[in-house]
Amino acid sequence: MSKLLEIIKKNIKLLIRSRSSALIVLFGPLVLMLLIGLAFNTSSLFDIKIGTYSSSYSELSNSIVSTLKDEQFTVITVESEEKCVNMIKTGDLHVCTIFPPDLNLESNDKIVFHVDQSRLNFVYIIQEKISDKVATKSEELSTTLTNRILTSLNNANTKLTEKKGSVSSLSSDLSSSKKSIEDIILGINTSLTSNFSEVYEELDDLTEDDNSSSKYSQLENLIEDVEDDYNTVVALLKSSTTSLGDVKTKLSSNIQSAGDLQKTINEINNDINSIEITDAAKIVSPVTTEIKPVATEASNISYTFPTLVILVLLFAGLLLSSTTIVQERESKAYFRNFITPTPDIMFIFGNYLSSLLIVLVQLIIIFIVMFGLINIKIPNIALANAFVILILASSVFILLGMLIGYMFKSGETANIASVSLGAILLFFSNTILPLETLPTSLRNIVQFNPYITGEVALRKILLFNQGLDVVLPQIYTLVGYIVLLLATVYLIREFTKKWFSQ
Amino acid sequence: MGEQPFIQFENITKSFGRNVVLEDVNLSIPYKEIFGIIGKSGSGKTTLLTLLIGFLKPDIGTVIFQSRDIQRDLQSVQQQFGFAAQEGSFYPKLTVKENLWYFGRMYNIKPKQLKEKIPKLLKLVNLQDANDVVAWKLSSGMQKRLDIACALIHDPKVLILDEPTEDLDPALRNEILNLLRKINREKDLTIIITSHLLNEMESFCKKVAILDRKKIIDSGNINDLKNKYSKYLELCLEFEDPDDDYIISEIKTNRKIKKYSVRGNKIYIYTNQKGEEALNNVVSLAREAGNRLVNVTMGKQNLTELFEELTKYGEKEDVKVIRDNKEKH
Repeated sequence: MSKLLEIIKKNIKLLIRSRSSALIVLFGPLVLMLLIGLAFNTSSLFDIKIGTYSSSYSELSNSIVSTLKDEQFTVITVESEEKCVNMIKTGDLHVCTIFPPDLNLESNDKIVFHVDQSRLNFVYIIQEKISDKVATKSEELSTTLTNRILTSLNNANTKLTEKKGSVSSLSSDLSSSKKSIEDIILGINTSLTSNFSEVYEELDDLTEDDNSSSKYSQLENLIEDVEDDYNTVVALLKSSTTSLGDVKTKLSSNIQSAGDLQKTINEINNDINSIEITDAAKIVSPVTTEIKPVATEASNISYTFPTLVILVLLFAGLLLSSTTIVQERESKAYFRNFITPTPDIMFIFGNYLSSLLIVLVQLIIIFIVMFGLINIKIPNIALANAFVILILASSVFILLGMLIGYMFKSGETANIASVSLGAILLFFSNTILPLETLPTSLRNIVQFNPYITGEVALRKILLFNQGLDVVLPQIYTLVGYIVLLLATVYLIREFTKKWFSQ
Repeated sequence: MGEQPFIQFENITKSFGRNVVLEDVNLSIPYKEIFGIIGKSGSGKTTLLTLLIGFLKPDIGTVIFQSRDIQRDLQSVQQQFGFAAQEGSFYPKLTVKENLWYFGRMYNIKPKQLKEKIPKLLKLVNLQDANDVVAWKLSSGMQKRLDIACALIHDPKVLILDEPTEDLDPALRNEILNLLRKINREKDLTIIITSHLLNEMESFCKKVAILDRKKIIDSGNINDLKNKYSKYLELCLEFEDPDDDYIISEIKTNRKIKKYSVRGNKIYIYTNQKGEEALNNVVSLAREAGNRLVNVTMGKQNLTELFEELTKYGEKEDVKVIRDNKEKH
């Protein structure tokens, strides 16, 4: 154990006394962290240049352009579509927006956006931002139009409700008129039952008694006249009754129509009243969505913090340990270490622990800076769990660096190898491109990338406050790597003895 | 314990891939001796030493130290050996004291003992004033002394030095060799040293092993080896005019002179004549040439000549060698 301490002390002294190495190895990751931290401290995009072109700007297209203008976007009006697209190619614009001439709500023309698809990550963010802006404007317009329709409907409903009484009264008047006519017809029909035969019989009786035939004749003539008049009246009345019957039929039909009208008005009223959502915004966007983060953090860096920490560990671990090993191998004293009665594994552990110690110091500094700068609040238990993962992940990267240090003969090649390995691990992770974009077969392999393993575990612990039991698969994977790498480092060191002796 | 084999190489064969470096090497090294291993560059001297300290395993054969196979008891044997490589083996960015402390700890020496031991050791190697100096700032002689101190920190019984005076100027070479003599005297340990600076080895070692073409040609006391292998008497002649063509042509044509060489302003001749006869011949030659003989030394072939003879060392640019006068004529 005391030998181990001596090896660690020696390694740290050597690292500190080699100023350039110390500067790169100790402060490099911290500077990297600071720069990345500043860069990622906000989720916003800045100074996005949008070019717009239309052969004829309308009120609507101008309104969309003014919507796009805000602190994030600089809108530049370009003279032609071709120039607009070319400006994307030269990097002067990020997006080119082509408005159809005289864009209005009635036209079916589309607004076309030209984007540079080669800027993989950026293009999706731009597309999303622009789409959001245009969708917001489109929603505004839809809301206005819907509001107009709703107002019209509301007015119609009110007026129909008002006129519903008139129709009802009309229907009632018509029914009453029909009744009157029926009564008249009945009256006519019942009143026209007089029979002049009785009058003539009575007249005959009177004639037998009185024999005043002249008078009789006169009377008879008079009666005959009356009868004729009567018959004429009856005929007229009968004719009126027929006409009244027609009126009655028409009245019945009108009453039916009035009833139907009332029913229709009621139905329209009911239909309009049955519309529960009368808010235009609700109709335009009947389903509203809200994305709630499962972890609430103040700034973007809080979300990226686990990734950044693992990133620093990756490069610090790889570079530090490979540099230490190469320095040791290039040192005049390397041979003397071999011939001391100290087991090889002791030197391996000594080098590993030296690097781990320095990485831990870097981590502590990073955490202090992060706590101080962006006020990240992490519960103590999560912090303790995070350090378990950080130590395991650091160990994997340190051992990988040691492997490189033993495999490559010069500092230059070892550094190139370390940076290359770091870049490969970084590239096949979620940091640059989502893993979901990789083919399934490759993804199945890449998921064992220790960088991803460490990042996933740290994310669960730091962002979701989950315990170590949840990240056991990641812990097992990292421990597996450590065991495997320790054995490999030991074997490679034994091989270096042979190289050395030859 | 004087002549008893302290270290023994038994039938050692070692190869790297297809390249056989040592083949059936047998060698005994006695206790408390300053023992030299001489050989050409690439002859396998360093391999032999690294086999001795257990860093390499022989393909065939065993290396025995105090009746123990070193590969079977490596850690305890390593504690008995101190090794100083041709290039210093210490951390240039640690101070003298830090280097000694670190290697002392690696050799399982307790801190308390180290605190006492380091000043004594620094005094022994005359680095007491450089205690806190970072190693890379030391002069090359001081660095060599630090390296030797690192090799001695655990009080080994055997100090192994691989070409310790290589790359040093003559003054520093003497300084290091004197230091090694002092260490041998004071520390009571066996020193095994390799070098191809044979004059130096002749003056420093009592016994040597000659390694050539993967094998030990012979080993033993230097004088014994000289007696065994020296065929000729060596005369070193210094003339007033060293560039006398007459003398050189006479030497070339003299049948009794088997070979000669010119080194600086000295002419070395090797003859199978008796000493007095050879001296008379040389004096008469000088007289005939009218050149004054300033100095003459006479003796057995030196180690360099012996080594050249045994290994057919070949010609150097400043050395003209007649292998056999008879052949020439």
